[in-house]
Amino acid sequence: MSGYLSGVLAILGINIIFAYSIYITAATGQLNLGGAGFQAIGAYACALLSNELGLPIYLTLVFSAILGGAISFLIAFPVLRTKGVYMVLATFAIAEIVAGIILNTDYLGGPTGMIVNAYIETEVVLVVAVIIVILGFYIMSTRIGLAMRAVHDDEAVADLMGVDKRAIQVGAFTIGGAIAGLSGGLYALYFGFIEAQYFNANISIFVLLYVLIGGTQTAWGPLVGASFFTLIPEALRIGDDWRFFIFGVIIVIMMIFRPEGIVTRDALERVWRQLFSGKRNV
Amino acid sequence: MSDPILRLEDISKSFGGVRVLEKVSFDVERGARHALIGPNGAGKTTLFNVISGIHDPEQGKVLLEGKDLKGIPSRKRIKKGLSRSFQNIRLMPHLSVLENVMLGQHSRFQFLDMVKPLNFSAKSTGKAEAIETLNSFGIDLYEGQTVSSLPYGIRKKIEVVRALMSEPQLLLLDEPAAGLNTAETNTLRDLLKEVSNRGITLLLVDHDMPFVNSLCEQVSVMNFGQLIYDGPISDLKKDEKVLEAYLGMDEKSERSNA
Repeated sequence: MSGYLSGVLAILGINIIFAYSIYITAATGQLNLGGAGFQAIGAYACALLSNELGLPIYLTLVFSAILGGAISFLIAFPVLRTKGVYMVLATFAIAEIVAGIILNTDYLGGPTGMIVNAYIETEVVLVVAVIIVILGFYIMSTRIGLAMRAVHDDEAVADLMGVDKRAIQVGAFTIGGAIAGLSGGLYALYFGFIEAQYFNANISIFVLLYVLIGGTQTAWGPLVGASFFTLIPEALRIGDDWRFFIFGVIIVIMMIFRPEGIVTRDALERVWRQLFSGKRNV
Repeated sequence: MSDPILRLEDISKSFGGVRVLEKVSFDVERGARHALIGPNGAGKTTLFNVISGIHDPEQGKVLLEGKDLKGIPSRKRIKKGLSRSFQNIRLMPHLSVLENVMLGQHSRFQFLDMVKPLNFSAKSTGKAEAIETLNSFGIDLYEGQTVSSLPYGIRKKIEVVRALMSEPQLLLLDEPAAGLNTAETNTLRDLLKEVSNRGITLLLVDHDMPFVNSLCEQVSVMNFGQLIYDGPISDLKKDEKVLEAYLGMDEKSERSNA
């Protein structure tokens, strides 16, 4: 495998994992614009545990996820008191606070960043990505997933049906934070260098776009969205300086024709019916 | 006579300075088909919201099977045997028909059952039961059918089926026949009679009097937040206060003079 292809695949894997972290919360109707903050927490946790304690990489990844999840859990309670655009702003603010803390902490390398001693191959990233994709599909295939989607559609009715919407939202936010932390850990270990400036607002916006453009209605959305956002700009390299212009035009066209995302339940259902017509009658 | 399944004792509720419910009290007997009627703005839906826990009453008690529901949040009332449908259809737009119906079962499942994939263990996850119930009410759709494209009458029916999936003792139906044509109303009435035959108590709000007359035996009438009649539906037309509320003072006087 060429270095270029290997690098693209690793970024694709990290982006897919990161997209599922945002998708899990979006599936319950919450938009998290602070993805970069949780990714940074995981990346720095992984780097410190590896550099300072010399833990095996698999353990550092587990701790990245645990720390991302634990911090998400703690801040879920105040953050989830907000809704809609206020929640977007609250999560955005959290990411800025995390970046601010890192930039002002010498122990974490401050603005000069931190070198990570351990290293992982592309294959590790891809294996973890496959596990996370399976986990995403698994969660959404269960009654918990059904309750998450119900909370997304109508909180009040879901509540009357016996769904503990607070537990569902906090749980989703926590799992999302854990997966974002894991993606940060993988980033740190794959690239070998981390700096606070990388985990900026652009990263948070892009990962949210992966999910929104991919579609929040099914577990296919983040997979398709992250792949679209990672691979299309690469494929457009033949367009040289025009590639981001062309990519922008493609996104605008997508949003006009697929406002609910590339993959919607209706679209999936149509495909399913064409493939297995008459076989799934209730 | 056995204890009532639902007893409302002096329920009062205000929004701002507006008194919406004023000491409303009545019983719903076990197994009854009980209607709650009244002009628009009488407080019927607010009373439903108080019973289902969306609003807390300022005064009074809601007793379900003799137990006070005070302090029990709305999401836990379904476990006590209380289920409801809504004035405007509130099915989940991004869930399929089957998933909407399965959502109605949520309160019956423990956490360990909730983490089983629905497609791989249809029996233990309730999927098979949901399909069977849909079929038993004559709803025969393909599995992934979403609700948004379905006719209004079928969506109303699905909402009733969803409310039944929690195995309720008491089913609150908020204007189930609103917006339905005659054929759809007849189908709904047959469905509700079948539900009633299964031993489930019905308390329904509706404006369609022929529908209410053909379905219910008992009726409570509200006007301006107060209960003005509670008794057999057969005596409803003889009641002075009800005539006044529905026909107005002048017309009532003309009637009595005629």
